[in-house]
Amino acid sequence: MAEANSETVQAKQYRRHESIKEYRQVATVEKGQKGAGREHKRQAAIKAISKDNPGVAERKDLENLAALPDTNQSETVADQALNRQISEAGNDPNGESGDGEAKKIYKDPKSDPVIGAIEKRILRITNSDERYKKAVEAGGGGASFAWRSANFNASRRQWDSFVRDYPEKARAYADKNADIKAALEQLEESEGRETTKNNVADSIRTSENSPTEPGENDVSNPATEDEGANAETKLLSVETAGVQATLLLGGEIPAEIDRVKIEAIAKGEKPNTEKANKASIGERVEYWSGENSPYKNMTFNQKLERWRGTMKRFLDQYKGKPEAEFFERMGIDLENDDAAAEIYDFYFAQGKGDVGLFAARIAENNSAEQIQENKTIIQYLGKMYGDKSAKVAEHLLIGMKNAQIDVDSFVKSAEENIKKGKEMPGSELIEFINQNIIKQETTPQAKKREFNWPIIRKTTEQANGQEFRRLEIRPLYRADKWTEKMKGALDIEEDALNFTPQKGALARSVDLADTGPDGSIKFTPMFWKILETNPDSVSGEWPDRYISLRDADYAVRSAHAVDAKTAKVGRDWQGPDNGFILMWNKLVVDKKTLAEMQQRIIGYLEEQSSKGRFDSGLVEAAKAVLKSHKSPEIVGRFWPQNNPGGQNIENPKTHVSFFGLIDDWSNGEITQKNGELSYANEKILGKDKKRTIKFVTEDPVNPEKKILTKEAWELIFTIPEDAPLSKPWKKDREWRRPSLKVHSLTSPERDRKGVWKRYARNVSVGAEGLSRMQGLIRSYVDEEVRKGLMDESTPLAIDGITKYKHKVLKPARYVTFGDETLLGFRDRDELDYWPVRKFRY
Amino acid sequence: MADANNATLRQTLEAMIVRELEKGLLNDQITGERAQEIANIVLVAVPENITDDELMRIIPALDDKATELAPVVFKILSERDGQERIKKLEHLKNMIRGLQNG
Repeated sequence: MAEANSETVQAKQYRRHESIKEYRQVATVEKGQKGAGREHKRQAAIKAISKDNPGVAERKDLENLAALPDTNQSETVADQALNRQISEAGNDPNGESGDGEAKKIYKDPKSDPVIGAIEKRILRITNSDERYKKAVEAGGGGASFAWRSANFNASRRQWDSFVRDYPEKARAYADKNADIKAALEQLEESEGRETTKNNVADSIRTSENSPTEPGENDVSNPATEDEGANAETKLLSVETAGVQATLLLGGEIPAEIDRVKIEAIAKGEKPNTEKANKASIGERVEYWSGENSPYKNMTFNQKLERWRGTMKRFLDQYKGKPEAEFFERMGIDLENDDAAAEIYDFYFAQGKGDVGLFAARIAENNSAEQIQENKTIIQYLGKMYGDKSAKVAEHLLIGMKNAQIDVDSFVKSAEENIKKGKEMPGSELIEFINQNIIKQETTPQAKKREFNWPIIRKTTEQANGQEFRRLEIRPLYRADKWTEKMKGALDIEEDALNFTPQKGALARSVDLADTGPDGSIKFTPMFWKILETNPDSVSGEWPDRYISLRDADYAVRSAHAVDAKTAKVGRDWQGPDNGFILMWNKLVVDKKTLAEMQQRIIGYLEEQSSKGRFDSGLVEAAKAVLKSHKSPEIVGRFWPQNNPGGQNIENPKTHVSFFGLIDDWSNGEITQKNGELSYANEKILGKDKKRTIKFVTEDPVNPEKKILTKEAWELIFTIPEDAPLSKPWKKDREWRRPSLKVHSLTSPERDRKGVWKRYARNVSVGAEGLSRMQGLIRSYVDEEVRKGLMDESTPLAIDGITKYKHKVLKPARYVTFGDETLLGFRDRDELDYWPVRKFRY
Repeated sequence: MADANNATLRQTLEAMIVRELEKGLLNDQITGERAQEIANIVLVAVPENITDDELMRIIPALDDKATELAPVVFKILSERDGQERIKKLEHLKNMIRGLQNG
């Protein structure tokens, strides 16, 4: 980079454009050749033949050319050639011979071959920058932006090395080359020496300081000098170190700080910002398209135009001001009218809205002092991700910087912070990014549903070679029945459970597993529904004969394609005559068929597990699910007529009301003691009042051992994100059954007749609460297994359900009622609101 | 003297080869890899301590291994041939003069 003093803005832009032009020319030629490697090799070969140095014998040129390694290392060789050039120019910079180019000072630094070689290297590194190359290929305004950013980074590193290797030259040229001066000052600062500050001609410094003596404060910004002097050794915002570390480690408060990961991030590894990014998307969607957004009726281009205008006005206020240097370090040229567009291209179009990219960019290009000085700008820029996401970004970048400054102190401070748990300063940001995982888009669902048509597997009708093709779907707005009376045969083929009624009748299928785009096998909601439903939940006698299985829309389909006549598409159908798949909106089975389906599935899992296709943990989980059907239930669902007890407080009677009230366990403390989950909230429940769910009881078969209760399994089966939100009841809502099929019991109390009772209450809890309950159950189970009081398959089963169900299935779609978004089913057959499950990919 | 001439000839050959490679690289007529191959061929075929006779035997064979060197080989050989022809013509003239003088 040329001296900032002598080069005009236009010349600088021209030089930059020339470089971009040169690169584009190279890129164009490169496109015509086969692969970029050839071009790099050609360039390296040209450099190896050093026409710039006529004194070098031609034989040496041939030797340099012959010594070029393969294409992938051409940059290293070019670097080596440059190094050779530099060392030939400077002799041995660290040597004891002393005299030579190493210490020779030129009147004009541009005449110094060392300077020339370094400038060439900077240009080469800039043009080789991966992000810049991608930006050029992608087109758009991001290329200049990326070039400037890469050039800045390369320039800073190369000049830093120069001032270390050639200290005399650096001091001599400092007044004539702004980059050398900046690097020298940086070096002196880091070594703790005083640097000379030049008010007028100094375009690098961000504050106007008069030459200072130790302790003298800057007039313009009294606090900055002190903080700045210690910033490199002192951590930034140490009180929120816990939140910073938590965000760097993915967004969940860890039990212990992963020091290795923090060190890796300090060295440049990208942190996991998935949750933060999702939260940012949620904020931005709300801002631009939310119900109350003034921009919701704008097109995308209109919104983008507005965004650019706002950003441009923000950037324009810093033109010609000291803060411009901060923007330059970010690769933003305030003189460029397209700066706002380039920012959008870089951070959102190419960067995909990654908060981590923004944070990393600031952390790697600014010292701690500079971050402090430009905090306002950083906070404003961060708002392009959202108001709260701006704070997340700020904490992320401060965390990265702190890790770079002193990883030991940072980790120590973070560990002290996280011990405070929810009291930790800034913990609301953690809650924010975790809550937004649950939140779905709030825009109202369209009246016309969009079906997620499955790709139908190979059938006999498709023997002409096409393995997969989409067929016409004929939805049937009724249930399909698989019962003993139909005398059907059950079998499993290609991950689908098939039911073939009497000979000649249409075979049906339920897909048990699906293969995701990443090749992994994911089990469908119906797979879990079949296993989790207890065949004994119906008596089998009229009218309690059938069990309805529905967890996702249209999970039952015809096993093969049928013709239009069979599909009864109607006379108006204009499409092809065959190739229809019938789909039923739910499945109804009798208890015997369901039991057989479950056994088939277990057999299939065992077979596939022995072939190595499925993990044995899944088989254990499936078996445990079936076993849980026999678990005792502490609080029955039906109105018990003659429950024992009630004479005293130690032996209260269990009372289940027909119209059960619902307790919301979201706003209180959930704990575990002696196999009971307790919920307490003095404000809501009153003093000494709590609700309990007993999740462990004596094994009726082996009384010395313990087993989980039906309530425990219900809690474990429920995906946390499906747990109902608080306040599900509203005046204008219909009655809706709670998602948690679990009753809690109140503390014992006396009724009017003097009978001691514990009342059963339905339980509603949010995702966080349910996760906590599942975690408490899991920890208790571990403890009991260790003591030998519980079967070892129980923790395996819990882990299997978590791994293969909770982490695989996305929550059912949320439904918007007026101004509130809730999860729920409608008991009517309204297609608009039936939730749809999808896999997590 | 001969070796000095050889050094000069070798250096001239190398200089011409380097210029030819440079021209080819800049005009995108040859790739970097090919230039590297050619450099290797030349370095192996033309060691530093080569004698006059050996060099003259090797030069015509260079373009068999690398056709890109054909212009260089042609130029050197043409110059050599021209010099040889002048020498031989001079020698002939001298012989004729000698015969004329009796």
